[in-house]
Amino acid sequence: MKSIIQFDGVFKTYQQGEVKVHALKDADFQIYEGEFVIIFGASGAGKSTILNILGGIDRPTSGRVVVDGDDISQLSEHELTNFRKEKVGFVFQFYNLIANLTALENVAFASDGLADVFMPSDILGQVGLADKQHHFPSQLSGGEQQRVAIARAVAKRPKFLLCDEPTGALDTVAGITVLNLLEKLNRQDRCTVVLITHNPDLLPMADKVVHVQDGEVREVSLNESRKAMKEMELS
Amino acid sequence: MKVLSKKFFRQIRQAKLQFFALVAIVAIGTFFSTGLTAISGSLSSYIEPYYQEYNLSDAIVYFDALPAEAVQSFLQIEGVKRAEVRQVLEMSVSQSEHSAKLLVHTIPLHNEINRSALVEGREPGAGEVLIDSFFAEANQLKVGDTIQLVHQKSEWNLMISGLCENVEHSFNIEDASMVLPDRETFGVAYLAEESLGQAVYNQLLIELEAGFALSDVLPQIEATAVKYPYQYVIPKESMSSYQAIRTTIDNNKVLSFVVPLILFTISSIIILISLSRLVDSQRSQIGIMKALGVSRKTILYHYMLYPITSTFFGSGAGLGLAYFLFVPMLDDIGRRTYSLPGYQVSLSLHSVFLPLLISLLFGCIACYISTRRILKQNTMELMKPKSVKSAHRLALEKVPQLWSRLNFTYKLLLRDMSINKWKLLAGSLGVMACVILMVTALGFRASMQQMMQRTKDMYSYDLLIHSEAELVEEVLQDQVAEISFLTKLNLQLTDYEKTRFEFLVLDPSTSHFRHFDEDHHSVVLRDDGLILPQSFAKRHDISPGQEIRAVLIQEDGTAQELRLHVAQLSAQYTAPKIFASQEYLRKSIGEIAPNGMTVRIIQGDIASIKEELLDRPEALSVSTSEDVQLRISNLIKQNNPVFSIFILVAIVLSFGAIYTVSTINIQEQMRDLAIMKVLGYSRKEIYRLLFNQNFLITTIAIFCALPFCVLSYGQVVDALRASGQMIPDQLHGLTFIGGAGITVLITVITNQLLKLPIRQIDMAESIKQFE
Ligand SMILES: Nc1ncnc2c1ncn2[C@@H]1O[C@H](COP(=O)(O)OP(=O)(O)OP(=O)(O)O)[C@@H](O)[C@H]1O
Ligand SMILES: [Mg+2]
Repeated sequence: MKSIIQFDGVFKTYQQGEVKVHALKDADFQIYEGEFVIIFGASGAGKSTILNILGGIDRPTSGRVVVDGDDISQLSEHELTNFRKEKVGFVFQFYNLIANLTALENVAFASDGLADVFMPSDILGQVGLADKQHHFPSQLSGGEQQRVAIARAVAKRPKFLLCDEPTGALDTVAGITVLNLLEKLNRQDRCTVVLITHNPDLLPMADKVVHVQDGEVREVSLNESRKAMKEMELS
Repeated sequence: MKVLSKKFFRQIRQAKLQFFALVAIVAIGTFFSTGLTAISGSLSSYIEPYYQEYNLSDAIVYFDALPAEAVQSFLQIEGVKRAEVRQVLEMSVSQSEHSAKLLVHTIPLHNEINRSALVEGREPGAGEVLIDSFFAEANQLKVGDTIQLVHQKSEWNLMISGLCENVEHSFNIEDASMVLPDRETFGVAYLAEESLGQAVYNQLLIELEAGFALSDVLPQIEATAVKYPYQYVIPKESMSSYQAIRTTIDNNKVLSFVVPLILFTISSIIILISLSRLVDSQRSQIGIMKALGVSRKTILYHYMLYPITSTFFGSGAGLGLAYFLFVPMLDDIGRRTYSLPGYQVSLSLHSVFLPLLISLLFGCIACYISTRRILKQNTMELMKPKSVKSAHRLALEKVPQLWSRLNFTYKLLLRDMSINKWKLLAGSLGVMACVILMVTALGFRASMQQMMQRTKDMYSYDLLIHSEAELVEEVLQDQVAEISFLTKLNLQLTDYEKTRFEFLVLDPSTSHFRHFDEDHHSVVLRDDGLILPQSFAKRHDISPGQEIRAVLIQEDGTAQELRLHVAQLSAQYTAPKIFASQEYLRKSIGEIAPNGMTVRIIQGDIASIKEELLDRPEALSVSTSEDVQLRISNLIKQNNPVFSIFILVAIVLSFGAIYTVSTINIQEQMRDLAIMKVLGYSRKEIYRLLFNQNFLITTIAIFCALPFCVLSYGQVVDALRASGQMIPDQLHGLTFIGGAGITVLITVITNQLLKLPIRQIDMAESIKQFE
């Protein structure tokens, strides 16, 4: 299998007045095509920093980040924008839907102008929101909003689906629905999924777990046999 | 609380330009308010004591001739305190190169009414004259110089004993068609009766007893006056100087209130939306403060700092600008306009209180409205995330064929606009004010330029010479390309306050004069009557076809009463004249020989030819067509600073409005914009979203402004008309497009400035925050 994501000695340092905050220190790991990867660590460990750099919405201070053959730390603003547009689907903890667009429009908005995308209404049907397509985000529950966000992320058939604590603001039932969706996308559509969580119960569902602590990648562990969602007991 | 205020100032610093825009608008409001108050205040506080001290006459009665003994019969009228007789004559100053005229008054014995204020020198004795100081300055005359005055072939050589100003000529214009006095060509003079030789009194000055109004005594005055060759009575209120100054005071008083009212309305709407946003973004902090027991009042005061500081900074800046920029300019204009000794425009410090109060009041109301809603909520509600103003479907969405075609940026834009109508309104109002100011200023300027162009079209001779024909042949010899003879006379219109006009009788085939109506359609001189200046005809309801009574005054002073036919009207923008053809003159008056000519020369310097001609004693007067144009170009020049201020204010206003609304937009939509970035929308597309919004605001404003532009331009034109100035009054489509174009340009520039805050949006940062 070929590595599709590679972090090579990546540093991220924030300058806060006099103080330097090292959010990432020499992070190294690899992800292969089609893997389901969990980034795991305590609050403030640097998980979001990794994901943001990976998705091209933040730049590393130093180091190489090769994604799908390109060192994205070297890309121009314009190239990076195209990279995000064409290859990356994001799901955030706080949904981040656009308030003035309906569910359907939010989905269509993300894949607007791209070729070979899913029909927005089909994909909303798949996340179980066929009857709420024309609702505005404020008219949807948190779980429903997160499902719209996932629909938005996958509608463009992204190579990578990057999810930063997608279940963080949801109750267990809503959370499980969302995780089921992610698993399905990974298994059926062969989409590489990177998921951030600090819930250890979720670890068995991944092919690979990147353990982050204090800005460092402590360990990359592989699950010999990953568990399907229905085999897991989440509470 | 200290921490709170620190935070507050930090927030102001973050929105530096936004706060600056607000301050700028308040400053402009204060600038105008204090400046305009300075005009009306300085003028009214100067003029009342001045009128008192030098005793402005309550009325002047005009006669053809009045014996000195007649004064007694006027003094017997109950209510008349004083009456004085004098002679007033218009004389030409013979050595002047501008064919200057002086209105010469004899000073009555024991003069008490309309006394002159001496600026320099002393009262005139026999053979001496007092001339007005502005005329002296413009013509480089000094005390001790001798001037030669000419009236109907009589000459006087008089020594200038002093310089003065007189209360009755505080706004000293030669005829009502002029907006500003021309000091080079017209002034006033006062001399002792004996200096003229035999005085024929033609004016009676009247001062009333305190407590009497002119209307009380007018019947008796008129009854007494008819015993003599009496013309008419002009009450104080109708005298051009008194009227002009009163109007200026009143207009500026009104404007000094209205202008800041408009500007502060705009600024308070901006305060309303920026504070609403600020308060919304701090709702949880407000909740915490309330939970910690900080009273609602304290929090409200905290936000009140926003309108209060912007008001104080703005008022301070406005006052400073007014002091250093406006007042010197107004002072200059004042000196050019009024003949008031020692008059100075001064800014009174307390004039800042009115705009300050309005701004403060409006700002605090806006602040109260924007914070009240949140302060009313209880702590629990405040800690919860805000329920977003829910988006709703628009009427347009009922037409799916159209809606589905729309680009997402437009959908976003339209929905946002429909939710935030206040923002739209504030932005549009500011831009509207800009368009109105811009179009009015440009329109005014275009009219002035049109006046210039049209006047050039009317007078196409090189020289107008009032003299015998031989002189021209001698001096010009073979330089003459074309010559056309004319008769220059004076016509006094009996029924219209005996207004005097220069009366030019032309050869109908001449190409040196052309006549146009107000739409600049050609009016051809006919043989059946006069061409009258249109502005005059309009004011007195004279229409073509009418007969008017007139007195024809020839060069030797012989007067002849006539009934003349008004055939046509022509638009004349300066120095209005009455024209007739030689044929009409022959028919209605009889043969009168030409006494002058217009000349077009082949080559050579017109100015030096004029000099050469004027050096000859035979030349009565020589003028060039440029002399006429010069009057208009002076008018344009004098209006330049006003024009620049209009444009400047317009720019600041629209910039302030658009910039504030946009930055608030960016702050409000920060997360949406960040998400767009995350989703792979390029910067260009994000710019487009905001830019389109601004263009929408601008477009709406431009269309809404159209009727107001017409209105405001009309007001300016009317104001000028009221002072007798004829002015082309069509607001051209092109002017409007020009004003709108500049406004769009300002929008484009503002948009460019907005690129920076958009570029600075940090995606990783923005998506972290919970809505
Ligand atoms: N803009 C910033 N400026 C300064 N420091 C920052 C900034 N963003 C993140 N950090 C710091 O970098 C470190 C890593 O942050 P990051 O958001 O990656 O943590 P995380 O693992 O995602 O935590 P959580 O699980 O709470 O989301 C933290 O210590 C944080 O304080
Ligand atoms: Mg995180």
